[in-house]
Amino acid sequence: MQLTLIRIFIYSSGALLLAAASAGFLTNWASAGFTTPNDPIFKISIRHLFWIVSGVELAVALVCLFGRQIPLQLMLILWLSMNLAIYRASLTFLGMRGGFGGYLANLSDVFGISPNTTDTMLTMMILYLLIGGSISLLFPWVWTRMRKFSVKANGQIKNSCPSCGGRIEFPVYGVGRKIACPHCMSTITLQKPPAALA
Amino acid sequence: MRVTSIKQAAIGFSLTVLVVGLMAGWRMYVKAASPAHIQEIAAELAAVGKLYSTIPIMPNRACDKLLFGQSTEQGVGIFLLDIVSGQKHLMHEQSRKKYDPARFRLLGWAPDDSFFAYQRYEPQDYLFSRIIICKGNSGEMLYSFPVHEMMAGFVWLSPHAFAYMRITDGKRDLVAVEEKAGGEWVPLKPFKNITQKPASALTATSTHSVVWQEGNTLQRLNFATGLTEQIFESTSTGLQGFSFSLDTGKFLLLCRDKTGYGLFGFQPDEKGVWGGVRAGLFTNICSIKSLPNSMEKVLWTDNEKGIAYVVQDLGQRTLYIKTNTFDTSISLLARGSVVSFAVSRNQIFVAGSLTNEPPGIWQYDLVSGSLNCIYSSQEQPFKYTKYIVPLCRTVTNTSGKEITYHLWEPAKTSSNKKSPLLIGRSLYSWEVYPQVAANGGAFFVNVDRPSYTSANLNPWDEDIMTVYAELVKDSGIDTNAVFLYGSSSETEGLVSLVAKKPNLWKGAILLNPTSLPDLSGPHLSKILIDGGIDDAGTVKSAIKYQQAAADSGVSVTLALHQDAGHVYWSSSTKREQAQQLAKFLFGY
Repeated sequence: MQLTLIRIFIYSSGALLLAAASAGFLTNWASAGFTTPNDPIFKISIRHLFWIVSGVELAVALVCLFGRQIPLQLMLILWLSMNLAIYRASLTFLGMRGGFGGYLANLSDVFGISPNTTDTMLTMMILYLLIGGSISLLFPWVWTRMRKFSVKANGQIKNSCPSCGGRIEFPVYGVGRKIACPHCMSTITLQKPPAALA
Repeated sequence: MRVTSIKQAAIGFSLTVLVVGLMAGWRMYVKAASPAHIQEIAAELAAVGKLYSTIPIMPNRACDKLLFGQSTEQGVGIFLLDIVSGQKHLMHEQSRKKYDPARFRLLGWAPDDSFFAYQRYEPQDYLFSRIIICKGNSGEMLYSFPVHEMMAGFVWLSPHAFAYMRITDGKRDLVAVEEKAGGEWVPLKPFKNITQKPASALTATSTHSVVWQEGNTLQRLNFATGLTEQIFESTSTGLQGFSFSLDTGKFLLLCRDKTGYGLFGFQPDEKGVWGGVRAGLFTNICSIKSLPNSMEKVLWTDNEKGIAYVVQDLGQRTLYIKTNTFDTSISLLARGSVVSFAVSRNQIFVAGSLTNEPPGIWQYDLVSGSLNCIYSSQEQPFKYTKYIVPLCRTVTNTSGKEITYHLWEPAKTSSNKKSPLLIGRSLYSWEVYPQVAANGGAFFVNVDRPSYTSANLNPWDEDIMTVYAELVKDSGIDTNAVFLYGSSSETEGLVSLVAKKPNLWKGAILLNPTSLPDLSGPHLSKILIDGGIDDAGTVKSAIKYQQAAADSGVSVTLALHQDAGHVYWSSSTKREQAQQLAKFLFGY
């Protein structure tokens, strides 16, 4: 159940980041010819910043949508969202009254929405990625710790695969379940070893 | 395991397609919501060539050829027009990069039309320029005469001689140049330091004498004696300008005093008395009591039988013609605006617009009274643009003052949708932006500006507010989408109005601004600043302003055009400007 929720979060994050990256690329393409202000943190033009951030967003989005390693995906989401959150907080710290709003004239014009709405949408996306990423990384850890505690209480069973002979270790409560052998992928039924039966 | 991987990839792929499709669809929806073909309309309108008052038209004496200057794609060109066939020929094109109107000029026709000359320069060298002499009938370049100093005037003395005034260390010399056998043009010994005062309107009065204006006086240099003499001084009135008829040897003087303008005929070598002082013979032509309107350039017509002059009234320049000096005036281009005019015998040529349409060159025949368009700067019919004829209206303010304005109504209106309004105060002449705005579905209003001088901008805000109050009675205007616009010094009045009534305006369009709205108080939600990259002052302040505005949460769209300065000369810069304006107003 937890895994399904995490997967949904990763897919939705990928979709959001892909949307943000597309918006950045489309804005730069459609507003070519206009001069943009410099971003107040890195002192580079907003157009260059859009290229860089959209590129990174696109990379993380593709990992989220097509990758298989959930911990890496979550780490990337969390890393990116933390960077964006720190950037956003720095703007407030530096006294930028309108947050991103003043820097998003081209983005808001290209998509027909006000700069303030654009700022709100971006802030909400960052919060979603940050909170979702944190919870997703935290939950498996808690779950694993609880499982380990439970396994220690009930003991482990060691056996070998009847098909390839590879070693398999599983908790007691797994007996009777059908799984794919991690060595040969053959479907096997987990059983207590003969000594234990005796 | 493999099944799971394929399933994940399918989800990833579907989401990618969905998201990219959604974003592209959103973008296309926004684009589709903007007026159809608005970018093409802006490009079409900007392709109309601009005729410049800094390069006045010059017909030859036979009235079959005419020289004029017009914007080109990359800068400004000098063209030779064959009046009979209507064909034009580009003589020289100066790139917009570092274009200098003071060193790129038409110099006129030789007295027998055999040659004409123009001045061109190398942008790298500040003082160096060349006088280019061309064949009158074909425009073929015959000779390039180098001038190493600043040139302050040029006249043809005869078909084979010309003279020019040069400035060296504040001193003005006159150099006569003659054509020698073999087609070489050779300078003669210069007349050095003829004056140290500003001199203008160098005019040939014979093959061996020239006259120029120096303050309120006219000075004459005789080449035979080498002596300079003052032939006229205006003591009670200001000498505004003069012209001279070679055929009759008579000057036409334009003088101004506190009551208005006076036109006088003047023959310096005839005996007469003026103000108790023995002087040349004066003839009182007419007086025009039309202050505060300003008169510009007066010319004899048809061997002194009549006169032609331009009056600037509320920024609108109208040509008046008196076929004889006792006649009432005929006005030309009264509903449009005159760019420049010239007289050749009994023909008057005028560049400008009849009714604010794309400007052209018109020929007025003094004998028949017919007016014909001999050239239009709109070379192709509009494919997407609907030409909007402005409506001229007046409104009276609370103190009884009458204010004139021109209104361009939207090309398409719908009963249930209100249209944005652009309001500003400029000189009334053909411009691209009113047509772009109206074709995009907005109202465009120009509260007519009296003249170029800043002093006349007052009361800028009062007049704008009077017209605004009148306009918002129109239910078709969206009062939540009113934009102010201003160009150059006009932005000073605009900024004052933003400060006084910040909540009335949605945004502002500032073209080459000299002043920018204050960011500390209530601010506009949209601002466009448009400027040329070579206009150093504007660029520096606009970039700083955009940064400060962004830091304050205000969106400023900044469009800077390459190779353009405070004035835009080329069609390509005009097109960029029109398209950026269309994007700002109607979406990207």
